[in-house]
Amino acid sequence: MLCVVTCLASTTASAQAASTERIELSGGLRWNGPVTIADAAATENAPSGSTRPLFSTTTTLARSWLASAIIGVRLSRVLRAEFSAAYGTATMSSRITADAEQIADTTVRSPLTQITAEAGIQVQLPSWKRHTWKPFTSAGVGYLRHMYAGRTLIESGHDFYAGGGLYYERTPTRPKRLKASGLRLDLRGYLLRGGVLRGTDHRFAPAVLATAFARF
Amino acid sequence: MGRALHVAVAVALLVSCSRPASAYLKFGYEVNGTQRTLKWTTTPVRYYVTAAAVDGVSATQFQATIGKAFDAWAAVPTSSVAYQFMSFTSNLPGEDDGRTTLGFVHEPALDRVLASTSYLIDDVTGDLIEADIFFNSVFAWSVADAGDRTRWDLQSIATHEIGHLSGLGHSDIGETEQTATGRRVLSTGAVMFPIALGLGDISGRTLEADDIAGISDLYPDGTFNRSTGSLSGHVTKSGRGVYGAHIVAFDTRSGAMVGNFSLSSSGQFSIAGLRPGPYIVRVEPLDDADTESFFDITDPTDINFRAAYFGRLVVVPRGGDSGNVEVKVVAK
Repeated sequence: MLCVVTCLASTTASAQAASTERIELSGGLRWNGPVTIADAAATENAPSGSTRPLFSTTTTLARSWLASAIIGVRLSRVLRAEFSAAYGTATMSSRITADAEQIADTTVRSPLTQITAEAGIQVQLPSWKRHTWKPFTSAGVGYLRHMYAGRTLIESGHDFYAGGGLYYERTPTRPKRLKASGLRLDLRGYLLRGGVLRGTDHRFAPAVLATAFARF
Repeated sequence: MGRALHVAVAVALLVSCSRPASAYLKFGYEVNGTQRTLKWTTTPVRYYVTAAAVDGVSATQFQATIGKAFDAWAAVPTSSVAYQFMSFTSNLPGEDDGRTTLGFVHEPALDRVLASTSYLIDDVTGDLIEADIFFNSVFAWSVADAGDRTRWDLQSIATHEIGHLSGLGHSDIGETEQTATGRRVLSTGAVMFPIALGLGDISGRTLEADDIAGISDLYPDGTFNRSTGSLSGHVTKSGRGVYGAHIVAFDTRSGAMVGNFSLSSSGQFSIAGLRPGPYIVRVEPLDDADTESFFDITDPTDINFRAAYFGRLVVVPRGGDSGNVEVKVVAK
């Protein structure tokens, strides 16, 4: 009986010493890779049922930087729920080529603002280097909004992401409210739908997040 | 009914400049000092068909094919226009009988005119009384589903003329080249382009974005103005407005093209009925058809400039206008 009580007491003490942080706050930058929005040609009907292009276009959303913030809530030792938001500007550009009346190739542009709000799950993977480096995987879904210059038009859509990353984590010698802090790097693949893509088009885009975090 | 004003498409029509905020190339006319847009004030538009056959087309086939052409316009979801076949008649198109009549007429003197639309307007009230379409039986016609390479497709030509019957003018979305014997059509991007593609072509049976925007602008349904937007501005050359420039708004995501013209001495233009989103704006001179196919012969149309693109993407909002777009062109 005494041995059992002692063993139980040891287990409880061990649990209290590990992973007491509940909330993680991260802030930093997110880099979105370029996205091809559409390849469209201005075509007209030609004799015998064929078509004739007047000119061709390729429209893209250029790579961009956004300010990013993440709130994580610990669900278990390896599982964390995450809520993130990002805000930034980007440029939509259309490259016009092969004009039938020999107008020189040209590129026309328009700026827009991007906003995303996402929810996802993060799964901690076994750490290494004395718990300093902690890899993880993550996945989630979000809402995205593209606002053209002057808020003339707002288009909304959704995104789905999956990826992973790495924490570089430092624990205070005498942790009080701050349980851990450090740097976080996320590599994500996004599937975008709607927004500037309009309709049911899907596009893939890479993203990299570099943030500083603190856990409480 | 007051004295009737008989107006033919090819002759005395003026381009309407009375509604620049939402202008599309519509027909306009002046009655008692007031500029009016040519359109039907009540629908369905009731029409009659001349009970006459030509080689290859019976009267019944003619009526059925005409019906398909009317259906194409009536099926535009953003337009409220409707048409109703009343009956066969022994009257010919062009007779001032108060009835809109379509039929074949033998016109050997008009050997370059496949078909034509004429209007009868009450010059006291300004109301449109009737609009007749004749199809020139000098030419060989076909109603074959897949077309006939040796004959003109009746449904395609009828679809174009019914656009006129409904109040639409010509579109300049198309390309031609001048040859020793006249103009040769290279391509068309709208049913309302003034020159037919050629024998056997059936592409004219299908409305393009430009046609759809035009009929919707004339006869909008309840959602049209709320769900679409417009793109407007000026075309200038050396600081002065250009009259008669052709402006095309190209939807970068769908590839749809909708066009209009600068219809004032300041070079002002407006293209309505556009799906919200970013557009490329292209400006070109009116050199793919005779200017008389679009404007009155006395209008000061300027074709001495090079085609050009506007230097940025223009965003068309939902239920609103893009704001002034000034496209600067240079002389050839």
